[in-house]
Amino acid sequence: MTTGSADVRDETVEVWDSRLRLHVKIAGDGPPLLYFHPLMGLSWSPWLDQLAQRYTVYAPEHPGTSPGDPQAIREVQTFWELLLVYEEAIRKLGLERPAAIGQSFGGMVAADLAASFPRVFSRLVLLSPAGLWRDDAPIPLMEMVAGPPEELPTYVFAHPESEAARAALALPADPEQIPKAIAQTIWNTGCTTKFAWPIADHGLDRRLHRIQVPTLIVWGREDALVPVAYAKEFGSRIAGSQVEVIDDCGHAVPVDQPERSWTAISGFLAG
Amino acid sequence: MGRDRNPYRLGFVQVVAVSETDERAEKEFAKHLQAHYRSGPGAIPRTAMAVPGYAEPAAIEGMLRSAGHGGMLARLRTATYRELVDSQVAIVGSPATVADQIEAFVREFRIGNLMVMLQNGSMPRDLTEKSISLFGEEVLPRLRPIWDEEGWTNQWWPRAQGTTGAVTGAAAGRQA
Repeated sequence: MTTGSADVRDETVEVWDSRLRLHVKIAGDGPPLLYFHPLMGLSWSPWLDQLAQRYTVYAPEHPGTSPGDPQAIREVQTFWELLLVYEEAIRKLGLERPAAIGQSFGGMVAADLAASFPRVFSRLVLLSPAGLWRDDAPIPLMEMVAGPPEELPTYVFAHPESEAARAALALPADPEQIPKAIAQTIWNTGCTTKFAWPIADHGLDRRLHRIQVPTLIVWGREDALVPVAYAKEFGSRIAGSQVEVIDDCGHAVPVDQPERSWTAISGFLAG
Repeated sequence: MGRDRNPYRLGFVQVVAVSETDERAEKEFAKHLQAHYRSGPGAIPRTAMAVPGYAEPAAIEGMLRSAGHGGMLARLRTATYRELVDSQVAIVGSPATVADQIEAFVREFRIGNLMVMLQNGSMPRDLTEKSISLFGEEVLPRLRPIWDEEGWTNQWWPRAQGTTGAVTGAAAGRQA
């Protein structure tokens, strides 16, 4: 999944009683910034390069999603264990209160880490995070994951035909590599949805009040996966948080609106 | 792998159809088996084969390649009776033919638990019942004792809650 920047290096951190070797992609210079990737795995996209010009970006790969190490997911049985794995990894990486960005599924991880361990981050950015549930604003996760692949872009992007959206989901140019790439994405999705269901039952809504760091919540108004109604659900539960809703923008905020999301995120992190 | 070679570790599902002779089997079962593979496994959309969490990456990749042009699943959509039988996708014929073929792969792959699918596709009730009877009366007696002389215990055979004790060899099958 990881493509792009040549300056991204791979580090492994041994955690969880030495049962797990967590792969972390690292790039850039400056203060540490953790990035938690969405459902389908880590894809090193242009806006991470942008962040790497100001920060040292640490992007852990969700257990099981690192190519060549699929069975790692078996070592993590519950969402709570996943949080403990990350908390340990942050200590072992020697990161002192890094800023954190979590996107979609990764937003659910980052938000719960910040709630469970109030001193682990310095600042928190949540990009259209999952993690809450309202019956009147269902998240069509199952429909997207188990539905026809050609419909997937319509859940993720406001403009599925745009060049940026196509690039974000591009398959390898070599046809021989395509089945492997698709299989990796499907496996990754299985590794993350292991904890994404049942969204309503992890109880994040009862823990969000524990978040004590400055928090920015960014949402696309046209989000077809996690409806924008959740922006105020997160905002109202996290004291002092800012909510930024971006017009003409779907679930993949940095892809649909790269400039406006960069302005919001970089301004907040610098502030 | 550090495990013993107990054949009861392994289960295998096989489509089988039995008639009095090979020729008769073809006459009776050909169109039903073709219908089964063409509209059944051959017609499952790729997406339904690769739901996240159901299969490991190598298996997903295999299914994707198999479903693609020239792959096994794609070929099932146009499979002929002769192709199905010659490749042993389905094992069909007289009791002797069927028993010979099953015994050969059971011994080769050390299979202890065999599940046979005797009704497939559009196969009508009377033909299905005949196939089941011939399998039970003339094929099964040849298969049951295959592993007896090795003396393995089938500790994986399902048993009622609260009962204990492993079942020895193919006696498991006879108890059921």
